[in-house]
Amino acid sequence: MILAPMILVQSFLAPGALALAAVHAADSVPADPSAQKLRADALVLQAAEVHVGDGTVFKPGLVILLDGKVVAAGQSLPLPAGANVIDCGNAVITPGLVDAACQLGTSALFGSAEQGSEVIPQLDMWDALDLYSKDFERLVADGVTTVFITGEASSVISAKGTAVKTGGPIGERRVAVKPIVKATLGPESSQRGAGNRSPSRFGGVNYTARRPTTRMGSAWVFRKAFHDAIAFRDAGKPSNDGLEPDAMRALADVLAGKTALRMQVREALDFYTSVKLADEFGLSFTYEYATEAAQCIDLLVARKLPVIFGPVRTTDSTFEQFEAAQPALDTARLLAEKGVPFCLTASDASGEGGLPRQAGVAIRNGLDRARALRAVTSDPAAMVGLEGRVGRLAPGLDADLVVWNGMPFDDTAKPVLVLIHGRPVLDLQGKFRKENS
Amino acid sequence: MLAIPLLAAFAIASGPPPAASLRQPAPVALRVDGVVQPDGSLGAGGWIVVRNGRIESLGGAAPPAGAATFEFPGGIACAGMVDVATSLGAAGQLAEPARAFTPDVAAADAFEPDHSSFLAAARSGVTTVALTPSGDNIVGGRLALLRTRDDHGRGAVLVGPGPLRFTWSDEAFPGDRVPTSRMGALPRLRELLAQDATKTAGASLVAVQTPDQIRTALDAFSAAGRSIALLQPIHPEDALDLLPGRAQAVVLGAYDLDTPERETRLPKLLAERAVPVAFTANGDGAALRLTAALAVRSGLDPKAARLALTAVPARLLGADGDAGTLEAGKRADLVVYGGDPLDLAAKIHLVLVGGAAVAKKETP
Repeated sequence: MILAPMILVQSFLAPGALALAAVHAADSVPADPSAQKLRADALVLQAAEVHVGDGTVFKPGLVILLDGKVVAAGQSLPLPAGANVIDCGNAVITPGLVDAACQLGTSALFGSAEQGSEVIPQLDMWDALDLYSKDFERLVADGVTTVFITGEASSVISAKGTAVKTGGPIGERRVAVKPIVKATLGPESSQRGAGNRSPSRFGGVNYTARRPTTRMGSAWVFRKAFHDAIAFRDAGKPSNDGLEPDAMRALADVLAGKTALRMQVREALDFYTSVKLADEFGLSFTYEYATEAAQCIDLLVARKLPVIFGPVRTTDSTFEQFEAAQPALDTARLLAEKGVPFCLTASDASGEGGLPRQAGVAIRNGLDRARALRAVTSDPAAMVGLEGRVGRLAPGLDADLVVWNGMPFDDTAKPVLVLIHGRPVLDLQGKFRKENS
Repeated sequence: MLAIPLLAAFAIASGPPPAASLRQPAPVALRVDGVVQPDGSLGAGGWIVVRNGRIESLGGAAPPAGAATFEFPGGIACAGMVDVATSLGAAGQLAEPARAFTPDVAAADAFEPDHSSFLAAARSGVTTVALTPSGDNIVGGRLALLRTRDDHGRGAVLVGPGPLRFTWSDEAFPGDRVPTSRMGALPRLRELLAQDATKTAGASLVAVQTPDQIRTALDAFSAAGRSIALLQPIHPEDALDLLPGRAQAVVLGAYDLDTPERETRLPKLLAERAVPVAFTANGDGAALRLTAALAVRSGLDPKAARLALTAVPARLLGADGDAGTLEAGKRADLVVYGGDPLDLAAKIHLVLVGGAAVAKKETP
């Protein structure tokens, strides 16, 4: 038997190298004292197919994990004596799915929407999370292992998003991520903000009666906030709209490019408004939701604006009854064909509306299967700057993976084993209980 | 129970003579058959000598010359019970809900010394209580530390600005004031915890309910280096492993015979993780003892249960220098039970608060 763990060390130390190449190059085994440790600790998963997440597929394939990281993925290999091998049979292994614009997992009763102000980029969605929420169990059941929790649409300029793993020890959930702030155009901030009413009837603007109440008003709040931030940054001028200094500093970071910007839009006209607003302040941004992206495809192509697209609803949603209820079902295919950078999101949906279903709908409507996998793994990871951490089964990345009992995203397939940091967080077939005690 | 003439050497609540005349220089000596030790165990008895409201010595073989002596065959002496979260003697509401953060509000300003609840508490064996702001605000204000009996037979403030009471559950987010969300509240909370003005003796008392409220409260207080005691968490099971080393104690109770086993097992589960427990029952000694007894029935070590009635709550209030255990030099807050305090069949024979008697020994 070859000492495969040595191979693993090599590929681990040279993350640029293809795992497969490293495997074949490992005829000479260095006298590494950690060999014994690797042999004892390494975990090997074998399956009929291993999808790396960047388009590469190994049939059959295996993945080698150690210390919570991927060490290698490749074709069938000679295995080290005593290696802990889990044979997944005819299953398919993919990276853990990544949602770049998740709206689950926030503290339900506290609410994640801070009604105190319409502009709250100084706040952090990390503070709104309920890590014990059942939402995370549902995400794990969907095969989603990393989520970027995006700001709430009830504020025009919402809080910074935060990234977390959906399972594993509470203390290891948080994933460091560069700050991203979301703005919401359209009427959502007046429709979804709890208790928003017309200010005039209640004697001024306060937490129960905030502006804006119209689409025009949302754009105005956005523009005014950045104007105030610039005046504060350049001249120390306080906001006459009651924006906190911390909020204006956070907006200055957006202007300086230190904090990324997203725009949640649904209707086509809001796409055009978003571009207009961004140009006024020299901002680049990523679209979120983007329901009517198909109608605005020329704009997206011309401006090369990335899109986090979705969700396609399986049933009518109360929230989306107002407008732009359902996107064109072939939007993902169109974005791919036109070369618009995009990924898919399930937003606040899980289960039958969850991320696997979003990918499945996209495939059914013409998106290439491999591209669909990328759109829920490596592409969303890159959208939030986590491409070096999650989204692919590549050496050095987190050992987050999903074992499917069929072809991923088919209606007949579902995750049966999910690992996060190399540890099982879902194990429907008891693989770990039986074989990895 | 009434104070009886036998105990006239103690300060007795009958009219308001000057305190000085009641302070007899002559010591009082109590003979008991057992003493609850500072570690919560039951130790040997002997003579307990009280002078000028303080414990002079414990476990002596004979009373000092000239001491008034009282003997309690079968009696076990224990420190008076301490309850960290009560509304005893409150005049009006214990919250000012106009704002979510009211660190400068003091419960001592709502204290009514003549309130009859103090006598009831003292008779039931409770000698120190905290008048505690209620749960309407994220920062509710300062606790007031009270003794349940002073030389004039009234409740009295020991420490006015005590530890702070926080509420980190939905209660503090009524939805009609800012902040409306936890995300909006946390930055302000962190800012307050970084200020010296919120540094207090003892531990901050933080009401929480869900595991995630526990997690976020522990994170915020640990980051500020503040000592935290969790007040009456409802479903802490999933977060128990976050507590060791980070929560100074968990305040639980009151339990009664209808309390589900899931709740009464919590003290045991916490003790297994070396997290101390304190019991609270709004100053009702009988309810405190029942709570402790039920916790013991669900597996809590009896030593930890006795400490949960006395030493642990005293420490949370920063009052452990004077109260919570029977040790020479401490204030004579003392209860003589007819047996183990955890045995509900054991009657209270005597209660001293600062050396003043409020309950009597059964007629010899």
